[in-house]
Amino acid sequence: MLKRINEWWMEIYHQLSLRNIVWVSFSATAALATIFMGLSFYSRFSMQLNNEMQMENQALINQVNNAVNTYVRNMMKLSDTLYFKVIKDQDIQLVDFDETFRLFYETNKDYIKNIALFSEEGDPIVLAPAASLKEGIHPAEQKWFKRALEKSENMHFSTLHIQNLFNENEGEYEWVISLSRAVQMTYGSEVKQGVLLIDMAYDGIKQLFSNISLGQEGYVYMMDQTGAIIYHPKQQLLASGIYKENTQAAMHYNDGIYNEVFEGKQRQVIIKTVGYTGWTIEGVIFPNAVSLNNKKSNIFFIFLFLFFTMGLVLINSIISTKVSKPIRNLEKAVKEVEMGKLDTCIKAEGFYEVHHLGQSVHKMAEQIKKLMEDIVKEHESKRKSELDALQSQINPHFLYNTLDIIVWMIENERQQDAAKVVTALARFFRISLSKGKHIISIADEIEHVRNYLTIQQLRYKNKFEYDIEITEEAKSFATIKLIIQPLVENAIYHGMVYMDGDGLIRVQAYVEESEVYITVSDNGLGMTKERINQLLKGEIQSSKRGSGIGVSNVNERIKLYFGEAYGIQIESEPDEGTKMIVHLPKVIYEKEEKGV
Amino acid sequence: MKHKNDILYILALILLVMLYLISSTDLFYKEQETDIYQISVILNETSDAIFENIKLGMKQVDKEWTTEVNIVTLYEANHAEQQMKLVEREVANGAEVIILFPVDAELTKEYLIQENWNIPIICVGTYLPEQVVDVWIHGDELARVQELGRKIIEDNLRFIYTIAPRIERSNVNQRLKGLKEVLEENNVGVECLYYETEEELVTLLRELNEKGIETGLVALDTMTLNLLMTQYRTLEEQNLYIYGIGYTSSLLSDLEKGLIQALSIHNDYDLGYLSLASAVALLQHEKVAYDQKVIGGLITKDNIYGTFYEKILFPIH
Amino acid sequence: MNQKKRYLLIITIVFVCFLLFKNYINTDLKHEENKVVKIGVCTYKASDTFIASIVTELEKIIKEEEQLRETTIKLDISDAKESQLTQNEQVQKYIALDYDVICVNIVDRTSAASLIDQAASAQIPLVFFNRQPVEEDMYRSDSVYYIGSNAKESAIMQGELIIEAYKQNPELIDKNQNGIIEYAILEGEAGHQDTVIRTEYAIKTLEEKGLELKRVAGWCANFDRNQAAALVEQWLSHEQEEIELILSNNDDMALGAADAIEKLEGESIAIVGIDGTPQGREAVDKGTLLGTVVSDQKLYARQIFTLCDALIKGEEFVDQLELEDNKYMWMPWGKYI
Repeated sequence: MLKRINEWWMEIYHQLSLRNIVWVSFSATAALATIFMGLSFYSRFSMQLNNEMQMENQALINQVNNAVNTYVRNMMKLSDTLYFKVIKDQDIQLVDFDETFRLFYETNKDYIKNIALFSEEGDPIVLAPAASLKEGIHPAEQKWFKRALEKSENMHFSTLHIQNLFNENEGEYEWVISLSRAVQMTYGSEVKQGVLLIDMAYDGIKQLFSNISLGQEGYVYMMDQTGAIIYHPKQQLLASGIYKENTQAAMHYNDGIYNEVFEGKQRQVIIKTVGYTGWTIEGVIFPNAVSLNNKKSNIFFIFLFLFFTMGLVLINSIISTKVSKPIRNLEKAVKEVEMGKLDTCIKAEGFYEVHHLGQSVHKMAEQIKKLMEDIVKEHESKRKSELDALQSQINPHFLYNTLDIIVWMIENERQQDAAKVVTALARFFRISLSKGKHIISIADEIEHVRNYLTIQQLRYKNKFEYDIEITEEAKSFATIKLIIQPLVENAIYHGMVYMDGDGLIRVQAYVEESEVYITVSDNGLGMTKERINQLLKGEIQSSKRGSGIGVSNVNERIKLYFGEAYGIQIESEPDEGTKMIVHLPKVIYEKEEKGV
Repeated sequence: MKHKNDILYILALILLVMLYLISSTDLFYKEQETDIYQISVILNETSDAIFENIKLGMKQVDKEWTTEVNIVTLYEANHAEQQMKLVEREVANGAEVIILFPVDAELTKEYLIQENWNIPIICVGTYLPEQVVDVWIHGDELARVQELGRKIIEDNLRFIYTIAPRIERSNVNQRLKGLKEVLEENNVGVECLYYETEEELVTLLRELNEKGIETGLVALDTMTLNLLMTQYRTLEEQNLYIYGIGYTSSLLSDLEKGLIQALSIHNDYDLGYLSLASAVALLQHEKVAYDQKVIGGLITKDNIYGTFYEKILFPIH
Repeated sequence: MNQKKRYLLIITIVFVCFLLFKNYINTDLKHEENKVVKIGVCTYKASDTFIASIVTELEKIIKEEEQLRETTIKLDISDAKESQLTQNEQVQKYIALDYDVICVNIVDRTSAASLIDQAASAQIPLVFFNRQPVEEDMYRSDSVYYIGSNAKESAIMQGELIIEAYKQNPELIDKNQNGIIEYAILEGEAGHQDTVIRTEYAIKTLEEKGLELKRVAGWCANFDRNQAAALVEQWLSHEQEEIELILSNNDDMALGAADAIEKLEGESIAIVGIDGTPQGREAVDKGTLLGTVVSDQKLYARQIFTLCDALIKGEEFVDQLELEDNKYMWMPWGKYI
């Protein structure tokens, strides 16, 4: 299985170009790096942000706490000042507090609804601002009054309630928190008790909490020791039950930070107590309130990611292209060389390996070029030889002489012989030309020699005899033409000329193992070993009277055509005779052959 | 091949630009918080004087969501058809939700079925079925009216007059029926009086006031009570036992002073809050319950300043 | 080279499209087609009877106009309950909701600057009424207007009114016939521009016409009826000297004084107010108040509406109104006795 995958992968891999591999791998790495770094930063940042937020929230709650503390203390100070500096030890019957009270009221109008001083029985003594008691209202029966007298050393803060002492303008009502305390008033020589009331306007307290935000959903609220809400952003809804708050739990918490689950939501509550009053401030925070997780941010991250990825992809693309350019150029050049343009200029450029490759390919191309040139040269010389052979196919001397003989024979009424010579001559030239082919069958080559011998025998007045033997097998093989006739010519001119009628030329053609042999033997003069060499090398000019193609030519042509392993062997004994052995490879003669 | 690459690059570039625009500018997409909801509230009176507390409830919703609330009053008192025309007008002007205080339930139902305005309708007060409106916010009319009846019986009245506008109004009829049941069960006589103009009302008032005997008068809707009291306060002698439905701060003053004996109330603040909150929730495609009930009670001189009703009668804002 | 050129061309085209597109879309988003005219009114204290009656009249006018013109005019009233902070928030809300005109009855006359700036940058005209911002602030922007009445004028009229009544029937006012008028004065809010002027000029007028005055009592009752009632109750219970005339900076306080007198079942005293609220006029008719100086609230409301209407219609219409200094519209006073 793994092997299959490996194979498959290798297949694809081979198709990929270097540039694409580099580009893809660079880009993939970069993308992974980006994602990884991005996520790391994001989570780190998120966490840090959350921590910061937490600290800020705590600071905010502290701030609110301080503000409320200050407010409460100011109210208490006011009460103190009024009592200790204004009321106490001053004879009520003599001194008029009205102006002072009104002054205090005017200065603190934003926070105070009413300041009032009552006698023990609940009769109003001083009221600021000017106000009249509602009909049927008895201050002495109200809670704030009673509590103030019950514990006369303390100041008392009431719960949040509607002001129900003084007449209001029609349609107006005020929520207040009553701050009451017992006071000692001097009536001449008597000292009696009374109650000093300061109604704190709820608006003043509300303002301390306005515009406090604890994250998106968070909020702050304040309640008194009994769990009754003093301020809550959804106060009114709490009253009717539409909204619920976890005051029960909060009541039991001391100052600090608590995690709780309320109405199915996880949240954190920070509790701080306000001094003296026993009120507590609760800051409710929802975790993940600060998150970078909203639609726009997410889309922005996607944008950022895509932007960087594409940028990187682009850059990588450029880099990888640049790096792989030399290789591509090299590949292009090699393609051209492949197609045969050996002269393509192969620039040796790029980094080391490519540079070296370039040089090597260049050298290779040059070598090929040289080899090809060699081949061309070889073909040239082949052609030259052939050309020579061709030229000599029509040797004028031989022709003239033979025609002379024919004329002589005709004049001498040896028509039969004449006809024989003419026929032989025609056949001789026909095979010489062989329609321009270079390859003929051995049968034809032998036929060519037969005709030649026929003519030469008649010409040389039967100075010699000849014998031609060719096996059936040998007939069908191929050879290059005009290889035997020159040998026979050589045998005649160098062997038979001096024989006086006893000359014998024997031509044989047979097959042995994988080679074809054609021998030309004569019983003439023979030649020395040196002469054999000279003959083969072509250093001896053949007789001008002959065909002109020398033995060496034949040897050369055979070697050129069939290879070094083949050619002519000459065995000779001076005065005994010469045997020239031509051996060729076995090549079946096919009529349709591609000529060289 | 080259062309293909080019096209890819162009597309990629465009995609990038679009993403950037979507994420970092407000061209295509604004964060939800800045949506301003257009909501029209169509009242059933010619002025919004008696709707103070309801408006306060709506203001609370406004703190959380930005809304543009258009409060529309009638041109003519109790003109049901006109109310429907006003609904049409508001829809045409771009209201996304209508909060309606129907004058005539039947007519409203007809119109809603016929016109099919295709925007959420929230009905406050009178009953309209779920097929026709999306939300129905109301108090327990029957319970309230029964409480009132019992108080009247407690006060030992043998006979009362009810007073209401002559033109039929669904909520008035409902209340009258409930009240009559309770009273007649306990052998209290009921006579129904109707008025058309303010002058008529004043005349009726004076007549009744001069009767001298213990005369009970029940105002079946808040506007009537309001008009009544504006006159009644100025009278030299005040001999009537007045009961009413609904409240404003001046009516509460009257209650305190003894000019009114008892007021049967619904939590108006909650009515306002729930109606607008439901409207916003519907616009945000959240599920909203059809039947939403608010609490209420019977208020007399003695329990105005008790803790529970105090918050309802005097909403903190 | 060709490729690079191509890239450059593509980028340029995309960029240009972006610029064009951007402008087009932005304007589309901002200004939604609105046939509904929106007018916002911010009162300093809805329970101030003078302001309340103006507002009621304005509501009636708007309803009439709606039916006449068959358009929708949305009028939204806010009550600042004497808190400038609250009023700032209310004005900001109207700006955010793109109201056409905002009428402001400013709580603190020194705090107009930020409101004017905000409205100016949102291109919404501001019409201040009844409580006048400081003059420098009025010139902060061209689209700031003020409708109000001349406090001095009203005070002078108040004085004249008393003088006429005195001339007609001296005993009505100078009860103890000592040639001196013992008076008490109920003053308005401490910081209010009208308080000082009304007090000053009323008394000046009386003195100029030769009346001898003696100030028996006086305190600021914040334009508030209840406070005035409580004060007067006190004065009548405690003061040794009789009070023959009660001067009040406004009708509410005058009525408060009347309440106190009624409660104590004392002798009637000549009381004069300023404003001409419905309650005040009724009291004058009944005889509880001697007289008051009226600023016709119906007319006031009508003028506010006319100015708002002109502002919505356009510059030329505003010019037609021929406002003083292109900003001020003054309401006349009238005596009511």
